[in-house]
Amino acid sequence: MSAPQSDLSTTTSGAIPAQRTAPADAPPDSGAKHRRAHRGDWILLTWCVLLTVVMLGPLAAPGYVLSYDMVAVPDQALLPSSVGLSSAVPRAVPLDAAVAVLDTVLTGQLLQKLALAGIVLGAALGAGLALPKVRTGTRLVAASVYTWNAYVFERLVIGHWPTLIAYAALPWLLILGRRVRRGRTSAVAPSLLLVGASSLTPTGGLLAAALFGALVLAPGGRHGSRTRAISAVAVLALQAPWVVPSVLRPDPAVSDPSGVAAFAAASDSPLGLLGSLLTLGGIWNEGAVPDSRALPSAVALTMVVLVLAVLGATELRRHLGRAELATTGALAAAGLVVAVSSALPGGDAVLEWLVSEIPGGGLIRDGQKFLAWNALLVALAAAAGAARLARAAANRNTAAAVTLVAAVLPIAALPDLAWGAAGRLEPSRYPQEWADVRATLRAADGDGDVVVLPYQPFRRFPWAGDRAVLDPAPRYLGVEAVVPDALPVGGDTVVPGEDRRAAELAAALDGDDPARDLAVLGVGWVAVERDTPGTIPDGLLEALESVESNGVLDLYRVPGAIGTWTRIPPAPPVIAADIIFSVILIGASADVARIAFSRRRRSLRSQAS
Amino acid sequence: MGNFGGVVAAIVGVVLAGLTVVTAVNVSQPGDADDVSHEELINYDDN
Repeated sequence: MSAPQSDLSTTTSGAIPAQRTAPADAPPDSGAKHRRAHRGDWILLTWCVLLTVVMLGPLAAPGYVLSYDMVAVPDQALLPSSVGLSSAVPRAVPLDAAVAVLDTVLTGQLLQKLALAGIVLGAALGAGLALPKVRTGTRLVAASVYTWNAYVFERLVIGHWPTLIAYAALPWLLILGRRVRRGRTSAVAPSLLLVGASSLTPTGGLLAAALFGALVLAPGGRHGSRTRAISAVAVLALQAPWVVPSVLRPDPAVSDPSGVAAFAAASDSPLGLLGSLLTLGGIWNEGAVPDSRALPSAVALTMVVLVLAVLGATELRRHLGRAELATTGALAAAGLVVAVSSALPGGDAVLEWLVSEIPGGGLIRDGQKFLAWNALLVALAAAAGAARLARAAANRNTAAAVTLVAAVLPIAALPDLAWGAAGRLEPSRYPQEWADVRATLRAADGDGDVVVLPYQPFRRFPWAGDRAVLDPAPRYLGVEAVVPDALPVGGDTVVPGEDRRAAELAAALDGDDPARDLAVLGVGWVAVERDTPGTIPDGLLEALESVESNGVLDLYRVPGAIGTWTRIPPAPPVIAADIIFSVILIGASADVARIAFSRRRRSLRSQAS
Repeated sequence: MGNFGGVVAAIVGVVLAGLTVVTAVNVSQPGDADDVSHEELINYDDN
């Protein structure tokens, strides 16, 4: 069987287009090879851009995408809670701080859209470049499978875009980890930047740090012990912004064990739980599952992708180094075990113990998110499987057709990921009344934080398609807010939260004199959303001072002396953790810029001579 | 052998195309996702 050499089979070596230049002293055939490689890179880039546009096209419309946990606001404020200095568990730390800083330059709307597009494009391109020395068609398959799957759909729709930052970083970390292992210390700085971006949330930090850390620390490789030590310490230090406030909060960062069952992976297809997970679905929230997962025809197409991955699994040994294969394989196995563990005998008991006894154990209760590691292995294996099939083809045309079909297969199996997840990611615009209340609050001189009623975490606004969405007001209003973190799930279960202040506030709202108790708990303002389901405690609003009443988002002031909630992590170590995080990222950015500048200078000198 | 491989590839291609069309047609049918709950308490897993 001869290797086909059509456009879809151009051999490339895994660099990004801008870095591709033919050496000046290269022989003529080498130059032709480089031109083919260059063309292959542009084909891959075009394909990845196409995938991104087809998936996220509707996001070009004005507005903010609000879907479950995905919340974006025009101008998020940088507040103490943004770095974990609050009573809440630091789930979005230091993400909130990063967004608050970046949206002053980009605006919240642009930042959200650039982030989502960057995630999809970055994931596709990274996967496409992750297999060294394979044909362009193989790269297209890897890009498609990694970008267009149930995991991406479900995590996008549920709004876990920070987890998807890590997802997009994983293939790049595989590439960079490979370079570090080959002794190229210049790959350490970009790796740290990617781990840092992934570590804006705890889950993302775990996903990225585990892959890069394991690659760097695995035995073998040409990198020295100094590189290993610096990389490992830096990767750990990048987790400090969320680890430090979690560890130092006055109340332990443990969660209620009922969350294990509520957020356990679930079968989302006719394939059952294991089949759903192996095909990268199985999120606990059935509202975030694509409709196509129930269709036998879509399941059959998905199974073909899985068969390709099985075919290519043994081929991966030829493409990846031993340490890379061991690392990606071990993490994929670990991800699957964590995801399926609650369904294993005794697994739920172990998880409940971990969640309720070990600080931070709650991170594993939505175990399906750790399938990100599996997705990387499945994508690379499916690409290798397609290449194997193409090699077995009788002629070039059949080989090209096999590769093309394999690249399009993920889209055919999950057509509802197209066009904003079939309309679920449609941008919405905030009512003008929200901006008015924000301006009033920011201009007012008054003590205390704000609480938004109805006192429940999720909303259903008519101006946001009546979809369930985490209340955006606490981030929108630009002042500190007490946010309910007890999560209603499945109709009759409420998973208690970890925030003692939020729980005491819930009790106060059910009490005899809620206005007095709000003041004691440090709440100076009450905002009332009038266009979402929910109840307002009887008599509460009559006891407050009306500041703004527009019928959409009303604002009240709590009378009397406002107390201060002091059960928060100590500021100095938390701020020190953020400084360490920032210094590492600034240092890594400077190193990346220095390397890029010196490469450019060498390239110009080479052209001049 | 080459002809046999080509025939198999053609059959697989037709089957995959058929599955693709069936999936695309069915997924575009309006489902129950538009049914909006008006319960006072909004669940994390509501549509």
